[in-house]
Amino acid sequence: MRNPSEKKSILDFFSFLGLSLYEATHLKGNRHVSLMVLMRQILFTGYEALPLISFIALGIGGLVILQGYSLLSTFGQGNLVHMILVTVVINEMSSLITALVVVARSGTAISTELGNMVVHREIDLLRSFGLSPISYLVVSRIYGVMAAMLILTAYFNIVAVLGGWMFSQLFSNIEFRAFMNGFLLELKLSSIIVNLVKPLVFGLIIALVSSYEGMSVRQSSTEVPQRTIRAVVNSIVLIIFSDLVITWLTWVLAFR
Amino acid sequence: MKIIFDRVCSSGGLQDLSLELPVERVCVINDSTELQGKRILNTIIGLDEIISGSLTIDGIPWLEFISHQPMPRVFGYVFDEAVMLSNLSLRENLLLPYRMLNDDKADDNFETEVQDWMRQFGLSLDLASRPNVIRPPELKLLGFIRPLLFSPRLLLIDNPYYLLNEPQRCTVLEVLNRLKSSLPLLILSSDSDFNRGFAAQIIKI
Repeated sequence: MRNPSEKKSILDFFSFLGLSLYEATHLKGNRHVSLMVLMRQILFTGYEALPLISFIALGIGGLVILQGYSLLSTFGQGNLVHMILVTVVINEMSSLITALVVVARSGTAISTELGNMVVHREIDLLRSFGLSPISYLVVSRIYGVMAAMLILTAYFNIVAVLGGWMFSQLFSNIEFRAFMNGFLLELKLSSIIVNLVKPLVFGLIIALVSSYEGMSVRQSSTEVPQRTIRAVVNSIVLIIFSDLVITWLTWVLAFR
Repeated sequence: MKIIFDRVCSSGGLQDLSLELPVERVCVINDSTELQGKRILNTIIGLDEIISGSLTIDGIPWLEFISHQPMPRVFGYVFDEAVMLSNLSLRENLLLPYRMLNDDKADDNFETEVQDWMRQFGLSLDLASRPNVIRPPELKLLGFIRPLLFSPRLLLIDNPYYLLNEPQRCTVLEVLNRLKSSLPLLILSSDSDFNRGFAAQIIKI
């Protein structure tokens, strides 16, 4: 039971961050981390989001190709449309849009679930067993959301490229093989590395921020929606900020 | 077992509390507001952190006392409300503390022991059910069984009659009467059943 007059500060977040990362990196012999919670998180965040991700990826891939082709063809550069697909979709939009979908679906769910667990004293129950709520609830979610983000982003890329090819059939009869050849020529190692790093970083941010906000609920159920809103806003801000940092670092390291 | 609070301030709101709890067989904390009593139980079980002062059990500092064995083997805690993890079945809820014990053999006797305790508490439940389909009084009785499965050194009970009807209260009193010779009990209650004749010590707050 926390003292109601106690206020949360930025230091509390960093303390939570430090403890979560410490426990997430010291898994050996830690019986508190739940494989069941981890698998449920991957199922909910990853598998159950596939239809929505498919729809968005197909649409985004198609829209980028349509807009890109109409713009580039005015300069007679319609053949560079693959470059736009790689630059816009693969490097930037896939991980960003996937992260926003995961924030909307899973970030809110994590924050609400943990907040309700605090209100219903389920966190106290775990602590009364000597179980660490951070290990049992947060660490499993960190790994679950990170794994799901990685899978979903890869899936988004595949569907967006296929969507791009399908929509390209509307204005030019490009063969699938030729389209893919052009696409793969534009795809660089840096794009692949960025596509591995960004989903992991975004997944970590979503899981940490949502868990922190959920666990910060004190005793009232009216705090749960407020904390959930904060989880969404703070996750989005941190995702955009970290995206800028990663992209800037990629430029600095001359990957492109 | 002797629990001594020496000028304890806790994150839950204990202010400079000095108190001696001699838990020989049954010790009842009689607190009409229940607030201070809850804070005392929460501090003993570790839900509230000790900010200053010291808490000793049989002369051993609290942290050292709980460090030798898994928590469920040291303290059992019966919540006043029927607290269960809502995303787990009743069986998974009861099994969860085994995760702490690093003792897989404990699972072998689990079903027999649970059935035995359920019979004693007059319960007949499908353990595969989720807590949300079970009535709160029955969950509360399961809340008694959960810590008892681990034979703790001390059982802390917060408001044992809360949520229970008259026959269920009688059942609980009978079970606790049988238990008190073998297991020290620290009970927070202002009910007359626990304050007249049942307790070896009554601490009025």
